[in-house]
Amino acid sequence: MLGFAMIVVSCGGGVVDEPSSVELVPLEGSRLLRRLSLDIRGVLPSIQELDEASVSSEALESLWPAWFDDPRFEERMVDLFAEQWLTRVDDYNVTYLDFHLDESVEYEFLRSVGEEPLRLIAKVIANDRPFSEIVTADYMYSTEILGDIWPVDREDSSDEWAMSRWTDDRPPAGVIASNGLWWRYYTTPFNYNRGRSSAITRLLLCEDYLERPVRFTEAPALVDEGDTENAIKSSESCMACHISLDPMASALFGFWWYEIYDPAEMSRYHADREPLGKELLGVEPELYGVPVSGLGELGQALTLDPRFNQCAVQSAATMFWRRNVSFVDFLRLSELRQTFEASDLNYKALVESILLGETYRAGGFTDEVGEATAAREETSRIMSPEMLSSVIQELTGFEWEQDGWGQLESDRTGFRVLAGGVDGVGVTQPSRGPSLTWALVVKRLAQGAADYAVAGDYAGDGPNLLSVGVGSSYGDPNFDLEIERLVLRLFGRALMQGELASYGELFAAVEAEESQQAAWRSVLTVMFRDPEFVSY
Amino acid sequence: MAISRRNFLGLSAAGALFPHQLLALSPEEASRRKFLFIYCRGGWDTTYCFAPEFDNNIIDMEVDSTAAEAGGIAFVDHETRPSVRAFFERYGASTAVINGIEVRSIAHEKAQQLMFTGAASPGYDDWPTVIGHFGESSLQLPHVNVSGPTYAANFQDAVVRLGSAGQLSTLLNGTSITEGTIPVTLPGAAIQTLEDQFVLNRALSGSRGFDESYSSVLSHLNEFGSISSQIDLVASGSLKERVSTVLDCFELGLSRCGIVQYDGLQDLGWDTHGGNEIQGWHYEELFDALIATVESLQQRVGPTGQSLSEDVCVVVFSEMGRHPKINSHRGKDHWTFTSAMLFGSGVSGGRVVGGYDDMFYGMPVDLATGDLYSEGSRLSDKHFGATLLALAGVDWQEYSGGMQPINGIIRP
Repeated sequence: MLGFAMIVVSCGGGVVDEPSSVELVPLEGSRLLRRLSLDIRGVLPSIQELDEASVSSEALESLWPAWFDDPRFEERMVDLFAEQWLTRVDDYNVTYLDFHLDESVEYEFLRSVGEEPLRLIAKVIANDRPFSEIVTADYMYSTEILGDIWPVDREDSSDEWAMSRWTDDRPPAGVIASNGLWWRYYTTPFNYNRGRSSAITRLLLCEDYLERPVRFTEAPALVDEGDTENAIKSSESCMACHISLDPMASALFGFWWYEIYDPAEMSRYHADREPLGKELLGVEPELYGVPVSGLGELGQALTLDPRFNQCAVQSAATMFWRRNVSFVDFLRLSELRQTFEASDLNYKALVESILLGETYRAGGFTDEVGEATAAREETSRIMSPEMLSSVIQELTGFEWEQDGWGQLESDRTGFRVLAGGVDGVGVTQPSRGPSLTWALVVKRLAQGAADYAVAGDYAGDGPNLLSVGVGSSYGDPNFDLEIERLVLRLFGRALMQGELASYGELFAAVEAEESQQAAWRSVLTVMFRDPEFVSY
Repeated sequence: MAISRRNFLGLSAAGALFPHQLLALSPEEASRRKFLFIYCRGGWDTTYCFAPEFDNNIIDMEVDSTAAEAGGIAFVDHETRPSVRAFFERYGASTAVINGIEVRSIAHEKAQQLMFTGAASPGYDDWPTVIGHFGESSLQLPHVNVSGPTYAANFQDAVVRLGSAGQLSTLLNGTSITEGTIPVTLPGAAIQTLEDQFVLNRALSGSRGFDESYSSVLSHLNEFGSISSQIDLVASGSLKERVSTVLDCFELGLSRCGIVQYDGLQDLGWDTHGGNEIQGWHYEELFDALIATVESLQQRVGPTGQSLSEDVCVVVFSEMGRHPKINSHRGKDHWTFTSAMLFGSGVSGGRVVGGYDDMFYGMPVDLATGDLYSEGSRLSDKHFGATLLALAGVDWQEYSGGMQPINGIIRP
């Protein structure tokens, strides 16, 4: 993608269609703070933070960088990387039963496996380690379940995810030595890890072999036994990919399983099988011509590939711009890469730079906006299912679960895909706009959260979302105060003219029909479904 | 000026002779057309049905199968598959088979994406989503996904998924939230209506692009909620039951497209690296369901007052084919060339276009006529998509990477 961009730049003398402030209207004040808070922490800013930021733009800009040290930033990183790494799936080749686990921990088992590589990435970022450590780390993070079923030595920790070390002689290679990644991207015995090589380059170098045009009619006969393996080594059309794909695959044979549904095979690293790469593929391990001794050096070599840093930047931009990057972003991505490299690959510094940019902060278009910019830029974003979950939980304490499964984080019986999320297999890109099912999920979540919060606040043991509203009705001063406070807290702005009466009328109608408590429940429900709440 | 056939093809390919839409059919008829997609995931073996390659000695054909023809369709016949034979005998005249489509991948995920979108990279909508998007704006479920994949990038609001466990149904009736771990009490219907209207008004009063999209979605949701009880929205039944859900949506004027994934008899899957014979079982059950589909279409009346069989085009496809040779597990491995079948509205039936050569590769085709033509085009996933878009009256050039439709199977 960027190679193409460079051609455009060199031929055209400049990047075409570079969006500028002439076309974009930036978000400001509390709406900007709201976006920053949601993207960094997955929760809304508090009223105190909104007050602090309202003093001046300098006050606002000094407030949010500290949020990178909030533990919730790590959770956001897990969620955002899950959208790209696609490891948080609901099914693997083995199940909890294969490890004699109780059904009640099935969801925890699945998420522990799926998040294992993501958690390492998020910890590297949260701990201010160089991003390259994600493929060189000699440690991993595990939950108690993983500590029980995998060969890992888990440090004593009260944290759900504790630093751990593999005990099966696997080389230090961070995520490319992770079970979670290779359970998701497994190889059949006769694929010889080629699919996994392709996953490595897609995820870590933004080089997707599967996007390359392939015409099998240009290859020699592929019908007879051995034809395919011969063609891979001799046909130009096949070699174009396999000449670099196969040597990478050759370094992964410690993860080559004789049986792809065997939990013991899948859980351990098989150092004794490392030489099979050369034997079965006929090539020595290397990364794009750079010889490596095996998996450990493959990780090191990846960090030296110039595409590694570039890919990290592209991936981060995709996460926070909420759109795919394209050649028109070339200059901005180049600048971001310089920042990233100048910070010794500190991912927080990279994200901070992205969040300071006008593409991230776009909140609307001017009258001079061009068609291409209007079609490309996301000036308002919808809350993802994971974000809806964290926002609502922080506000109300409500968690949407059934039989231990997070209903906004899974699809077995849950609503992750219907709410615009990715399931990692059938749906691999998050929704960028509202759909009927997203709106319906939001409706039910809003109803559940409102019912839970209001019932709790009326009982005196709730989340205190209704700080002064309990016992008040439309016409009472406390009603006005509560609405004003909720609008600020939930929408990040002051009450507008006519708005109080609008909520008041709804409140009065429901109170007349049912009760004061029900009326507050309705007010909160419509606020949680409000376009200003669910977008940012 | 005399125009030779070759020149004619060149001119028409460049769009110089006719606007491309005119090569297809009347825009009005096309824009009314609905599409039922039946996706056979895993890679079907075309030599069990669409590719009677008995004269090609590199291909391991099924034992005891024979070449047959019915309704103008050459197919592979076997005594254990009476439904295949019956289907072509009854409906071959309105059916077109496309052979030799090159999908350009033998990896399931990528081949699937290519067959659905014509692109290997993300950011593209699939054919059903595009067609659904360009349907009437009043459609509440423009593209209803009963089961199977959907790639939605730019037109996500066109897609409505039922959920693999019928989640849409539980969302509509509220049990999704009332039966969760935390007990929740929902307000009565009257209050919910008040809330729905309040939120809709808020969205309508907004000025952002998001507000417009959201209000449109909410409007459709409010309308759909009132009639959803007329449809069985459970997505986990038999193929016939799931197809019936899509046809319900067509009948009620809710949808323009619908997709159902068919994983074969007892969900054994089409990815037969071992035990290739189950392909035959799958085809038999599939065609039995297709016969039932046609019968159901004939009995149902759409919102325009005419039989759904006049309005609906059925598209049956798989993401890839299977290798010509049996492997050591009595299965067949992946193969990049495959076939697809279309029948019903808009299809110029009773014909097979494309074919397989000595190497079991796809043969080039004259797109204007659908005939084999040595200097023609080798069919790809994009030609397949362009054909569907042309049948739907959608500007295929914008979404098929410039690849033209196979006009030879589009009824003039």
